[in-house]
Amino acid sequence: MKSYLQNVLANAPCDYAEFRYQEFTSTLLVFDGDGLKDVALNSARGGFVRALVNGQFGVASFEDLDRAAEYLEKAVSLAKVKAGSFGGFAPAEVNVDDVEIDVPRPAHRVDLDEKVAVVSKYNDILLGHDRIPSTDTRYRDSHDYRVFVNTEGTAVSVKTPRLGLSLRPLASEGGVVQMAINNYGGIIGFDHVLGREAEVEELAVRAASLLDAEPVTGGTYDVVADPVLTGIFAHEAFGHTAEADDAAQDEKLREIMTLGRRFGSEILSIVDDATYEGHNGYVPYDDEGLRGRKKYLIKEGVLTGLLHDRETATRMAVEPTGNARALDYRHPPLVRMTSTYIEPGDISFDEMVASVPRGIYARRAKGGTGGETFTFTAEDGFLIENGKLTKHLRDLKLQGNLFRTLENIVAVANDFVMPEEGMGGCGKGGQSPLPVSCGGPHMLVKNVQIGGR
Amino acid sequence: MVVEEILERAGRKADKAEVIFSEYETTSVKFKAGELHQAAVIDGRGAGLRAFAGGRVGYASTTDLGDINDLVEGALAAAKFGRKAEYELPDGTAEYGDVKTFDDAAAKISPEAMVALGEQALEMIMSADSRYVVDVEVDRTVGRTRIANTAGLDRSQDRTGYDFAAIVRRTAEDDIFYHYDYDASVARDFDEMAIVRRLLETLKWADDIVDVPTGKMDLIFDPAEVPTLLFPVVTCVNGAYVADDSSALAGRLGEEVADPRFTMIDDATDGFGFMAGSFDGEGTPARRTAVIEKGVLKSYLTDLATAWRLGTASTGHARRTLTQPPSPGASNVIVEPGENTSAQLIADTKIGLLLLHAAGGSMGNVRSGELSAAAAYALKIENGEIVGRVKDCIFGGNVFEMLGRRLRAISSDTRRSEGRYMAPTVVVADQTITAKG
Repeated sequence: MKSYLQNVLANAPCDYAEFRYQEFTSTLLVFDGDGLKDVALNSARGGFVRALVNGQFGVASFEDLDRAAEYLEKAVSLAKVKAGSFGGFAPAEVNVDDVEIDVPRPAHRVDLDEKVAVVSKYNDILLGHDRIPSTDTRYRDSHDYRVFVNTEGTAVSVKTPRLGLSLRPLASEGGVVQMAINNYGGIIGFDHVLGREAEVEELAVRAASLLDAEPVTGGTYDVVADPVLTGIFAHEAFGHTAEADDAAQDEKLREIMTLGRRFGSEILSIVDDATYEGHNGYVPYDDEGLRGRKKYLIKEGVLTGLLHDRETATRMAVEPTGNARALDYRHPPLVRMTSTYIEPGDISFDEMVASVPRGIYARRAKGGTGGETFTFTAEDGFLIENGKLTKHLRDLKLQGNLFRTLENIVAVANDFVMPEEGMGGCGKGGQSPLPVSCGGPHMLVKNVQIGGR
Repeated sequence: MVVEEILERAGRKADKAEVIFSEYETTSVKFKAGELHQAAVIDGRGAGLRAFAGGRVGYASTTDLGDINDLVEGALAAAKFGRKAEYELPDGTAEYGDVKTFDDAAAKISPEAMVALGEQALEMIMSADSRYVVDVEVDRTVGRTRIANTAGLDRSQDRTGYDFAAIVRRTAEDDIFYHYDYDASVARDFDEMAIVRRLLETLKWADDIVDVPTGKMDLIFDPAEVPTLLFPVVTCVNGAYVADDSSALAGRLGEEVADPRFTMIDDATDGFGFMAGSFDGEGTPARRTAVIEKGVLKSYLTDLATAWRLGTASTGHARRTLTQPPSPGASNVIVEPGENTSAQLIADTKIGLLLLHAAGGSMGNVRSGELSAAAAYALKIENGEIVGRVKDCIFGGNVFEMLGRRLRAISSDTRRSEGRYMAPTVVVADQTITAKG
């Protein structure tokens, strides 16, 4: 495939061009209150070409590989619709490599009946609970093979086996429906999901216990966030703002995101790390053929870097960071995160809770949206009174302003968890769900708004 | 033809089979920060096969039409484990309406013309206020979907799709203000510059940040955000959630679930939105479905499988993507208008928020009817006048209460929103707003 695409590129009539080829197979299992609902085996393959002519990108996505040369021409002619201002990429590393990420017993090689048996058993455990009439359990494994070649000589390929299991019991009583979630998976072998019966039992009890929890009273609280919520904050609120595609062409935003500016106290360090193995954000080569790497975005409270693709790096005259990622061959690469996390600190979780006179301990996430004003939904929480966890709370929607919240992170615990990803992913520019990871330690944030009745 | 071949091969081993085949070409132009950034074309195609064997159903899909063997074997292998599916597939003899799903104006617009529209929009916004950093996107799709099954159904539909979006960002000291407007349809049936003018109109108050106290007030959903308010409603009437008793509306047909002034209709045969079509994802004829009429729950939305579980007939609401078999979902949604204009409703508001853009509305316990979202762009109203923009507010509640005893008014004017909702302005009273600090 590499040499075929390189031949097509050999005399490309443009300033720069690249081909991406992808083969993707997946197995999807969806369960509900009656058990296994959908079994779907999907396979897709296709190509993507991007050409730069006179400062303008033209791109084409296609499924008929024999016609790659024709689509290169199409991309070139689209680029010529109008001349643009982009002067071309700054020189970058040229990579030639083939990576096959190895995991023990990859899920795409496991028989379908074994997968069905394992996940069905877990779903049945959940449904065995009398307050759980339904579930929204999903399992997907996939194998993703990507080839990237460009006119600069880079030619890399990566094979990535992924696995995701999201167990979501829906407890219900008197018109109230509550959901708890256990996520498993990442770039990891199938055996990882075996033997989880006790955890699934605990999950069922947890979901049912939400029916008895008290809806939170809205207001402003000091919040102890668990590692899941810490990760969501690192990704949704800060991470997206640190993606340089907006800042690269927006002077005012660039002023706010100036390197060296202090955003938080010395205890705060935020990292995006494409080399973090075993999780979905592990990206050996990005979709521009650059090596994935570990970058500090905030180090000891100070902004030290943004996330770049080759275009934003060129526009801002910095080194690219290997963060160009495309959902699949139907999409162009965008500046995206990989594994994003907050580094651990010194104090223990118990000390952290004990330091809070009145606040909320919020756990796990059902979702989140980012930007300067971010919003996350926690699975549940506990009221903290005089340093002790008291009432069980539910329906927690956390909101905050990014800049104030970064300043308000007053403690970071010495525990660190990179939560497993399950079925989720990141959405941006119509490309969702992109496999990413996010995590960190427990952290204490002052003055978080919590919505309620 | 590949469809016949797949059906023939699957039919040999399966009791029943259904093939969906789609092909499309999407052309898009994207402007970033005031400049054309990229022109793109996506040529896509694919086939999905549902095989019914031993009373169970399995699904497989592929974009590789060179080798359909894996597709057929995959669907059959999946059927060994799939759900019981003893319902009949449509045989194609039902009556199908004539719904316009193909528009020459959308099909024929050139990339050059799309670029020209983008430039016109940029010029309008940047000459109105040069502080804005502007992105514009114009997309059009031309495609065809064909569904055929072993019961005799074989239907095709040529489709176009067209959408236009303008996104603005303005950054001041620690205030990244962001807003957008867009429209989408099966046809190029809207004026792109009218969207830009409407966007500019809503930006008039963006500079004036005002405080709002935590407390109760009127929450006015602009038509653009009525889909956020309706999301839990549309979820709760989904037959799949009703069938497994996880919806707050399960078992409540015929009951009053909202104020008598509230009527919500689902209608793919009304050609106003991008979900228009004469049949659904399983070939069942599309039809007008009164979901909630004068506050009374009249119908759930079902596909073949959920209707079978519920002991009813499919309402024609099977939705599917290439990689997922059908499941129920809404098409074009209409909320019937009320008596007073939006302007009057705003003028009659003592204290309230006009919600122009919400974020995060789909993350709560939606099947309970819970809505909880952030007001990403909302305007404060005092004594009938808009006084400025509020930041960092959240709100939440149960939508059946919001559309029930707390429904203050529904406007007489409606507007297409998200390309598939025909929505009035909806005013909810006594809404708790949680504000910063």
